[in-house]
Amino acid sequence: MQNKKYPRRQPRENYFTEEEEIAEINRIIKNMRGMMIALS
Amino acid sequence: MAMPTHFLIERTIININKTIEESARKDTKIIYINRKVPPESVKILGHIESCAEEYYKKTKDIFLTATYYLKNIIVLQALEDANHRTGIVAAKLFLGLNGYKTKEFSPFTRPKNLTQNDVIESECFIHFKTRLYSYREREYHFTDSIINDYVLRFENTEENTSENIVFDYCYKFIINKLLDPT
Repeated sequence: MQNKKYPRRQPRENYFTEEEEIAEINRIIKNMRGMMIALS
Repeated sequence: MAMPTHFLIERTIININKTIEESARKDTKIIYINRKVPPESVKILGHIESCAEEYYKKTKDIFLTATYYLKNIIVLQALEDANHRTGIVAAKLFLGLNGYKTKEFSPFTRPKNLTQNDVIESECFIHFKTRLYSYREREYHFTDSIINDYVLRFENTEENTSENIVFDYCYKFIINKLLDPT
């Protein structure tokens, strides 16, 4: 049921390296500045 | 072809929290206050990695597992600050890693010209935190005695379908506010 509403794409095969992981975390946090401020 | 499932490790959760702390150093509108945390909470946070994997094996459900991370990071309060923010980013990262699209949120880059959506979005997060605070009080009573492995128990599995209001609320938040159905 949930897959119909929220289609799942093929996830990446490998885990992030630590550098890739930090880059992705930075991207998410930068794009959620509103939430970062609201919940401060 | 079976899809691989990626789990978050403890280091990832710490990295999220550290990145928020660093953001607060560069951005005066973001606040991060270093507080003392109970050592027991830190110890239990270290178990979240293996427990989440085991929980997924039981439920086979990515959304429930995302909820498991979100709810437990918030309830444990094992980080010096920004436990809610870390939990939300962790859930978003976990969903993205496993092939689910999540909503894009406001970067608030023009704070003087906030749109109505920016305001609604901020209120939604504040509402989540406020509501969850009262649910946490009701479910866990905020005593140190709850900071034990009981916090990490598995909800919504075949063996345990008992309702946990904190878990349920976090699940609804993920479904209604984080996931992007488009």
